[in-house]
Amino acid sequence: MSAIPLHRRARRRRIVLGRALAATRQAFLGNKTALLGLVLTLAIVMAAIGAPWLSWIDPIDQDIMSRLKPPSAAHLLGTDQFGRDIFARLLHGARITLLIALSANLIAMAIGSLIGLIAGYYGGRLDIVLMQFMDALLALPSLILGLLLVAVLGPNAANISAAIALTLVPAYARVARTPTIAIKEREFVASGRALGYSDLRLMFRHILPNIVPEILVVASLWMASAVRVEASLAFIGLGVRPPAATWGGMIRDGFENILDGPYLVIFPGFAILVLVLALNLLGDGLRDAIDPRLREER
Amino acid sequence: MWRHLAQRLLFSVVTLTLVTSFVFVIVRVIPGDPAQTMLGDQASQEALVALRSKLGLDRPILVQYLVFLADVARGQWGLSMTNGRSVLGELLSVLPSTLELTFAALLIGTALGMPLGVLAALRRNRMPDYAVRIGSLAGISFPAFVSGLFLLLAFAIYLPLFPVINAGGDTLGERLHQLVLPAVNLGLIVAAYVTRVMRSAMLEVAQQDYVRTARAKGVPEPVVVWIHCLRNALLPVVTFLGLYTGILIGSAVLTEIVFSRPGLGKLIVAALNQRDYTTLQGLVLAYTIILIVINMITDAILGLIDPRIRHYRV
Repeated sequence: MSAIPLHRRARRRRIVLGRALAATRQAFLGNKTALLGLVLTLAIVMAAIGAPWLSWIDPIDQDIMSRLKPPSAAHLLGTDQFGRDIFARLLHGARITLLIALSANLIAMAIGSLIGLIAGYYGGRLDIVLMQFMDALLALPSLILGLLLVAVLGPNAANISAAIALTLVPAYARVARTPTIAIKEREFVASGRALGYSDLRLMFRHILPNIVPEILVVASLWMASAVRVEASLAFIGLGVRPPAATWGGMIRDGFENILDGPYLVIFPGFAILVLVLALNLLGDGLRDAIDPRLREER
Repeated sequence: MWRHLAQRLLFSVVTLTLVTSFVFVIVRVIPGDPAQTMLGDQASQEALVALRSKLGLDRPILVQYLVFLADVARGQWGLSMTNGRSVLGELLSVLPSTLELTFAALLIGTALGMPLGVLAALRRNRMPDYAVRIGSLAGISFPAFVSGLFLLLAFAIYLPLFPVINAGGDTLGERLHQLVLPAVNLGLIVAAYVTRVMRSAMLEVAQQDYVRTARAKGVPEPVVVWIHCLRNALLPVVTFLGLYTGILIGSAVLTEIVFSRPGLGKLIVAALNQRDYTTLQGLVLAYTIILIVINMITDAILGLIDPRIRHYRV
């Protein structure tokens, strides 16, 4: 055992971690496009949270007298074929989209990282079986798989999240597995094993913290793809059931009236585009910021 | 090379079996009774029972599964539960349309994406690089149906250059005319991905020892870039395209819906709405087989480009 008292070891680890974080933060903040991504993402998240206060019109309130009205002072972005306010629906749609994308990623991150960690740590036959299964799951593209699952389970927020999560599990498993294989060979893991630490302790206390950066970087990129899949499902008709507002569903409705009002599809289309772009910018920036540090370590 | 391919084929069979089992289970769990759906709400109990036994739905699920596997292997993919037509025939009739779109998109995507990726890598951190990077990031951020709708609005409704409904033309000219917008839509998205992969592959390869050696021994710069770098940078691009084609067929489904094109997209949506189990099974099966074939082709192309893979022994 090391002679350094436990609390000093903890403090030293904090300092090392703090320096690494500071370097990463500096690299990230120096990257203008990444900052733009962060700002846009935060703006959309705030708009989603503040939806009821930003627009006092009820998103499912039908105003039959003003159907398919272009943008005006009364309805900032116009109204749809039922006279519902598009601005309000966009704000409330952001809530559903973000909620589904976030929960899908959290579920997939938990399950996928666990599978990748186990496969990478134990290796051998278990690794082959687990990863072969993951590859089979990955063979089906997320849209087709999501489509089948949502059709089976029924379209509600929980089921859509679960379906998207399932499509992301193999991806997270792959991302967690590769660094696990590299890290389990490192000296500190070997010493832990020599000290008689259990497999669980080695996996979760010693390896997991080291692979977290990799997982978090892809998380923001896959938030973007979850948003895209959710919107696509809603567009096909497998979104959260109407009258609840979803961006994909708004485009689906707008598509039917595209000749009366192109703004019906343009506004929700831009909303999806901006959110996905913001998340991609953010993810790219995070990856660039974290990558050199990881390369240095290996 | 052959051993490598044989090994991949074996893995593919495992994948195929897993996927079919998975789909078989999922499709059986779909709520709703297909016999009821086919006969309508007014059907008598006897008619329902008779139809269920005719479709084999009354047998134990394991028997249904084994019968299904045997039939699939023999090329008998069953009859559609809604219109009684052969599932395989139905699939084969719409598949060319989807493949046509997919390959046109791949063509546009690689023709546009590879030069742009190389350009960005050669002009790293300068104007062309920034422009290409921002453009490609925007490209990968567009869901296929959103970009499709924007194109439809711009070039079929405001500027009526192309048809809004693309129900399939009679002459080659008509077909091509109808293919332009959907193919450009998907092709631009493919180009965005290809550009990113190409750019980072070129940058990666440029740091290799053999590139430095080539420069050191006085190989002219164009030869270094186009022969030493590009050939090696092609590998990740080909691998990516192989993997991506699967996703692309998924995006093709959305594009088909937006542009009202016949194809797998329409079939999938109809099968989902009508709980047509057999068609859904067939769709996923066909899909998986296409992916496996694409993977094999990708492996073969990689072997052709890179002797290290060709001579690799596991």
